[in-house]
Amino acid sequence: MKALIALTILAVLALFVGLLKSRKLLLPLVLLGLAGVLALVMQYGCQCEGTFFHQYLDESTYRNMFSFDKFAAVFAGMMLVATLLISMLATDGFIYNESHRPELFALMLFSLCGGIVMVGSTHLVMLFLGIEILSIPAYVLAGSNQRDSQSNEAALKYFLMGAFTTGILLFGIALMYGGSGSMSLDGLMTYSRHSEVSGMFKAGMLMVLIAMCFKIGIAPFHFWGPDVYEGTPSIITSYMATVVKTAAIAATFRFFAQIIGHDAAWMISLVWMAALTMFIGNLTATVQSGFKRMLAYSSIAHAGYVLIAFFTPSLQATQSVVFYLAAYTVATIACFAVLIGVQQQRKNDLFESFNGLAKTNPLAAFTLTLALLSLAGIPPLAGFFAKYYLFSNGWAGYPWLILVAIINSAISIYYYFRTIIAMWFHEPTDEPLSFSMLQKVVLLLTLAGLFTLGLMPGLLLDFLG
Amino acid sequence: MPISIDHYVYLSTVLFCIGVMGVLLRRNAIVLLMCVELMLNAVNLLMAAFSTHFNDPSGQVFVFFIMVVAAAEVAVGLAILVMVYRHAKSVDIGLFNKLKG
Amino acid sequence: MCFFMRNKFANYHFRSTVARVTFAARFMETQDYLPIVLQSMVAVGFVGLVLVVTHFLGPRRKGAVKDENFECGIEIQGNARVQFSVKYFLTAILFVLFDVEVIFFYPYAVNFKELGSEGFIAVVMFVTFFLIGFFYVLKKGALEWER
Repeated sequence: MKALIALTILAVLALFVGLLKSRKLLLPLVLLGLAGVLALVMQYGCQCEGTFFHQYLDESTYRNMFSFDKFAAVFAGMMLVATLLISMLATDGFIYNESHRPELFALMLFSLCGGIVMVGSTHLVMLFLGIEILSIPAYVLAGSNQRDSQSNEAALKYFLMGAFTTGILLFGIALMYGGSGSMSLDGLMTYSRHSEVSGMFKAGMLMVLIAMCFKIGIAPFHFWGPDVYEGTPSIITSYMATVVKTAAIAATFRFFAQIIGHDAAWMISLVWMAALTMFIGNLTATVQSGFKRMLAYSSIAHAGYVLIAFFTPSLQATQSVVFYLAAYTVATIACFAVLIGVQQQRKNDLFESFNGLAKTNPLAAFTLTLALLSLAGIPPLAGFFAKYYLFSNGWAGYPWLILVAIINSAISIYYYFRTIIAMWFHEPTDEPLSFSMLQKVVLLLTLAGLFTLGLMPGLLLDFLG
Repeated sequence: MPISIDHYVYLSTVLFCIGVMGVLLRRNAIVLLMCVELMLNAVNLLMAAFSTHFNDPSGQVFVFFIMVVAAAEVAVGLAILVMVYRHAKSVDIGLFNKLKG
Repeated sequence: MCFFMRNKFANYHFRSTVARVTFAARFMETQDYLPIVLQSMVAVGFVGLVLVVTHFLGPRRKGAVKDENFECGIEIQGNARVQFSVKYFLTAILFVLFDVEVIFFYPYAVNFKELGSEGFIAVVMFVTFFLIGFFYVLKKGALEWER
C-alpha cells in the first residue's frame, strides 16, 4: 500500500515538473521514483510468507477490499520493471509535441497505479476502479500522437471498446451482487462454493468473464487489439502489450481461480476459447506484413497460452502464470525497443526495414533475435522454460489443449523466423540505425533478463515459494 | 401490485439491452457514447435496487463510484472525439477503417 | 404371457423413471438459466419490436416545409454545425468533472459524526488531491479565456 501511495505522489510530481519547465529533471525523477517504488514492493514481497493469496482477511485489511499479498507484490513488481524499461525507451522525438512529455509520463504512472490496484483487488468495486484507473489514462495515451490520424483512430476504437466493456463488466457485477448479496471476493467464494448458485449469479459471472476477455484480448473478443496496437505510438503499445495485459490477466486469475476455479462447467467453454485464441493469434500473425501488427497478433496468442494455467488451479499454476508473463514481458519489451528504433528512422515497420540489421546494428539484431526465439520457446531462453513449466502443469487438466498449444508454438516459429531471416540473411538496404544510450541499456537489460530467466529460473521460482 | 425486485431487474435489463443494441447498431460516435451511458445508468438503477433489497449500503456507494468514473470516462471520450473531429471533420465510425490488416 | 408383458412394462417403466429423474436434474440445472434467457429474449424482442413498429406506425409526410429543421419560430440562419471554441469545451468538461466529485461528500455528510477524526482526515486528503488537480488546471491555463 505504501508503494501505491508513493507511486501516486510520483505521478503528481511528474505532472508538476512539467509546469516548472525543467525538462531535464523529468526522466531522472521518473526513473529514480520507479526504482524506489520497486524497492518498496520487493521489500514487502520478501516479507510475505507462505501462500500466494491471503486466505483469511480480517476487517483491518482495508475492509476486505484490497490485499497486497504476495500475488499482488509479484505482479506489481513485474509491472514496475516493465514501466521502468519503457520509460527508458522514451527518447527524444517519440511524441509529436515535446511539451506534453511530463503529462505522458504522469498518465503512464497513474495507469500503473490502476494496474496495481487491479492485481491486489479482493472486491469487485476495487476491481472495477482498478480497471478504470488503468484504462482511462491508456485511452489518452493511445491518442497521444494528436496529428497522426492512425493514433486518433486507435484512441477512438480503444475508448469505445473500453467503455462498452465497462458497461458489460458493471452489469455483470450488478447481477453477481444481486445473486449473492455480496461483492467481496470472500463473500462470493463462500456463496459459489457452499450454496445453490442462482442463475442470476451465473449470468453475472459470465458477463464479468466476457468483459475481462475483452480486456485481455481473448478470442472471440480480441478484434479490437491489432487495430489499436498498430495505430498507437509504439512506446505506448509496448506499455499496453505488457503492463495492461499483465494486470488484466492477473486480476482475472485471482477472481477466476477463487470463484469458479472448482467448477468444471465453466472450464470447457474457456478451454475452447483458449484454443481458438491460440489459433487465431498465430495463424493471423503469419500473414502480416508489418512487424508491429505481427507482434499484436502474437501477443493475443500468448494470452491464449497463459489461459492454460487457469484450468488446473494450484500453486504451480500460479507460479507458471507469473513466470510466463515475466518471460513474455521481457521479450516483448526487447522487441519494441528495436521496433521503436526502426520506426523512428525508417518510418515504417515492414519486415524489409529489418533487412541486414545484423551487419549494421549487431546488438539490436542479437537482442531482437533472442527475444523472438524466446517468444517462440527455443530452449536456453526464458520463453522455453516458461512454456515448459506452463504446459507440464497444464497436462493434468486438458492434454489435448497442451497438444494444440505445442502445435501453435510450432506455427509461431515460422513468423518469428521471418524477421530473424530478414535481419541475418538479407543485405542491408539503408544506413545503420542509431540507438540512444538508454535504449542500448534497455537492450542489454532485456538480454540479461532473457538469459537469467532461462538459465536460472530458480531465482524467480524461489522467490515465488 | 407491489413492485418487487424482479421488476427492477427486468427494467434495467431492457435498458441495458437498448444501450447494447445502440452501441452495436448506431454509427455516430456521440450516439455511441450516449448508449454507453445508458448501459451504465441501467447498472446504476439495478445496483440501487439490489442495495435496497438487501438492505446493504455498499451497492449505493458503488453507484457513486460508477457515476464519477462515468463522468471521467465521458470527459476523456469527448476529448478524443474532438481530436478526431478536427482531423476527419466527422464522427461517423464507418470512416475509421484505416487500420485494417 | 400377460405376466411377462407386465413385467417387461414394469421394467420399462422403471427405466424411464430413472431417465426422467436424471433428465429432471439436468433440466433443473438449465432451468436456472431460463429466466435469464427469457429476460434477454424479452429485452431484445422489445427493442426489435419498437424499431419495426415505429417504422410502420409513424406517418411519413415529406415536403419543403416538413424538412425544415424547425417548422415554426424564427427563420433559421446558416448551419448549426459551426466551430465552437475549445475553451468553452474545456471549461464544460472541467465543470462536469469537478461537479460530479461532489457526490463523495454526501456519504461523508450523512455519517459526519460517526466517522470522527479519521473520516475527517480522509476527506481532507480527498480534497487535497482535488485541489492539486485544480491547481494543475489553473497553472496550465485551461481556465483563461483571454489568450
